[in-house]
Order: sequence, then C-alpha cells, then structure tokens
Amino acid sequence: MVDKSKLTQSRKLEHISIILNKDTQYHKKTTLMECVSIVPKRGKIDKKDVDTSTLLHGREIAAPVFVSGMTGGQKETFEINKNIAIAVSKLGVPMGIGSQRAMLENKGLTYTYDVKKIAGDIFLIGNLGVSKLPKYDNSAIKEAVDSINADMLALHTNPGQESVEPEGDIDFRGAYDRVCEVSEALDKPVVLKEVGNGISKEVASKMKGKIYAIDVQGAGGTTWIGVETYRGNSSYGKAFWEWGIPTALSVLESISGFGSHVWSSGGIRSAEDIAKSIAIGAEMCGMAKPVLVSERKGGAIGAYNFLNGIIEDFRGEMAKLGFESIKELSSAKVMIGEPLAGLLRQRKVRFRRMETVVD
Amino acid sequence: MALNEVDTSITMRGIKLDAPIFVVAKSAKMASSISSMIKGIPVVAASDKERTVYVNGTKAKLGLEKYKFVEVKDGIEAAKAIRISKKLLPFVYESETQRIKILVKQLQVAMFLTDSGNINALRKAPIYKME
Repeated sequence: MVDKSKLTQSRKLEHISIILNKDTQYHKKTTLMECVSIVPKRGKIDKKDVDTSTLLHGREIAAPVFVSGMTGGQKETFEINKNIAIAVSKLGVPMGIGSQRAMLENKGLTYTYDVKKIAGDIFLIGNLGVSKLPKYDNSAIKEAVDSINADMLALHTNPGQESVEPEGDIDFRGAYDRVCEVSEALDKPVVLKEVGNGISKEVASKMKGKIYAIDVQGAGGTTWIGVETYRGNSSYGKAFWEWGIPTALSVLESISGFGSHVWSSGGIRSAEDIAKSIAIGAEMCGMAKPVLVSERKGGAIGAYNFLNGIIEDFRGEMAKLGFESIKELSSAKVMIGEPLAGLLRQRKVRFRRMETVVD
Repeated sequence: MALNEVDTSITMRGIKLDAPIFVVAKSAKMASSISSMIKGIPVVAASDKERTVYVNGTKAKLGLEKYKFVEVKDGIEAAKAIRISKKLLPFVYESETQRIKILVKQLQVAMFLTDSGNINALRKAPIYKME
C-alpha cells in the first residue's frame, strides 16, 4: 500500500531541489510590469519621510510585502519556514507556508508549519489546495488553520500544475462551491491564489463577495507547470511552459472583477515591481523564489537581509517618486504601455487612473 | 470539472472523431494505413483534391472543401485554431503521427485549463491576443 504521507514529503523536497537547481522561469512571458510607469506625485523626498506601513485585515504591517507560501511537510522544509519566519518577525511583514496537506495526512508533520512557536506572533497565512478540499470536512480544515494559529487561509488553485504533475489531482469539480463553503465556515479570512498561471477576470468575478482576497500569482516568474514537467519528465507538459496570464494583467483583471484586496505576486523581483503593483491597485505584493534562494544561502540572516534590502529599496522608490505613504502610492496616476494597454482593451478592463495621451 | 471529463471529440457528417486534429499523409494508401493504426483520428491524403478522409481505415466524406487547414506544432496551437474559427481545422503531417496522442492530450489539457468541457465550449473560451 502506498504511503501517501511519504510520497507527499518526497515531492516537497523534489520541488525545492528543482526550483533551486533547474531553470523553472518563464522564458518568453514577462509579468508586463515593464509596461507600467508611475507618474510621480511630487519631486524627490527624503527617505525618512516615507512611511511604508499599511494595514492588512486591520493589522499593521511594516510594508505591503509578504513572503508567498512555498513549502512545509518535511524536516528540511521546516528549516526553510523557520528561517523565513525569524526574518519576517524582525521586519514585521507576513509570510505564507506551503500546502498543509502533509500535516492533514500525518499530524506528526504539523511542526513543519508551526512557525509561530519559534518566531512569535507573526502574520501567518495557511495554505491548502482547492482540489484537495472535498477530501476534508470543514472541521479538519479549521483544525489545520487553528493548530498553527494562522491568521488567514490561502486556498491555491493549480489546475495547470496538477495537469502535468505525475500524481496530479485533476478533479476540480465542485471546487468553487467548496471554496465558498470553507470561507463561510472559517472564522479567518480566505484568499484564493494561483501558483504562477494567473487569475482571470471571469474567475475573480465569481469570487466577489465570497472570500477576502485574490492573490493572482501570475505568469512571469516561476512556472509550476515547468517544475512538474521536470519531475514527471512529461511528454506534453513542455508545450504549456508559457501558459498563463502575466501578473500585471492579472492584477488589473482581478481588480476589475473582484474589487479591492487583490494581491500581486508571480515574478515580482524588485522594489520597482512592488511600487508598480501597489500603484495599479494591489493591496499586497508577494515574493517567493528570491526569498528561498536567500534563505538557502544564508539561513534566517540571508532571508532577513534580502527582505530588508527589498523593503528599503521600496522606500527609496517611493521617495524618488515623491510618495509619502502607501495610501498616496495606491492612488497614483499610472501610464500603461503596450502590449498591456492593448490587452486591457481586448479584455474590456478599465483602469480609471490611467493617464491618457490625446493627439 | 475533471480533466478526464473533458471531451475533445467532434462529429462531422455523422462521423465521430476523437479530436478535430487531422493527419495529412502523402498518399491515399498511406492515409488508409495510418487511419487503421490511429483510431478516431481523421487522415487525409495531401494529393487528393477531393479531400477524402479516412477514419478507422474507412473512407469518409466530411465536406472538407468548406474548411481551411492550419499546420500546428502542439495541442495548444490546435486549441487556438479551433477557437479562432469554426472553418479552421488543425493538422499535422504524417511524420508527426507518433505524436498525435500527445497532441490530443495537450488539446484536452488546454480545454481543461480554459474550463471548456467540449469543443463547443472551447469555441467560446476567452482569448488573449498579444499585439
């Protein structure tokens, strides 16, 4: 009889190894953040006059930046989560963890996600797969969230990854209803997130009013279809390498369909990307691979140095453009170039703060 | 939906095809032979002006003169061709016959990812056209 728990644990390690050692980035598609230009509010200001803090679901955080959930469910992955937790506890920003499926299969692995025990009261985002939800009732899901004292629950929808994954769960029937049920039943906010292929306006519209936030995890960074193509040596997966909605487009589509509380992640690599994400309306901005690489090289200190550097660069970016606060930045006027502007027209996505040029 | 529920089949003039992806063979003899080997996939001879189709080793008339054909390299391109126009049909050359199962699988996955349970649904799926 196959030990599901051992398979899950082994898969976690393979994922980390592939992401660190193989080329798993989009080759042609970008996030399209390069099409976004922020119109400065005023001349350059002093960095010390910039306040990057913001509120996330009523709780103050140091910057609208979080570490996307990546891993858990295995001894080595606990080290990763622990080190990232220590880093974010010093910086005052949230972090997510990887899918908690492993601890639902084997309670003994709960410790690999339970980072508040070490890092204190950080803002922690739990994680479960949408396609796995029918296997667990609401009380099991609630227990998974409560046992690690998570502040939110991210439900990841990953049909692209599952289609190519050797042991993929390719049944998403009833997924939408189940997400709504879980959101209704939990006393913590629920976030729907993708894993690198982006979320469309149509999906975002369906979720409006049902959950707290959408984390687009758009195309332009790591492709999990690529990760699974390596794992399973898929004969058909490679064709889907570039499949996905670029992050900037997905953020704007999701805002159009869902409203506020849209998070920008997927290929976010710089302070400029973060500033642009907030300027086009994202509430938060997530990073994953660069944090993982820093943590693997330098442990908690490595992760801290990277994140601190990014937050300080973000402060510098805001100062350069004359924005004193996140509130000001999120109301910024923006110029959107091609091809993003054309795609927004095609998709009938309006963006009111776009500067238009009249001939 | 579930991936294995996605139906890539299509019926043309009463004949059921596993997928609307055609194989173009060099000759009628090759077309007949290939269609006996790959069940459910239509095969047509390049040289045949009447565009007789072979399905499961048997001749069939599918009214192909109404259609335009586009060569595709994978199932995603096949999905795009099907989506763009009802009058456009994807094909591969006989040298790619070994890959036909992969192409059909890729078409199925592309349909799954666009929430298209069948070919009619695929024809209405949202498209993103990069300029």
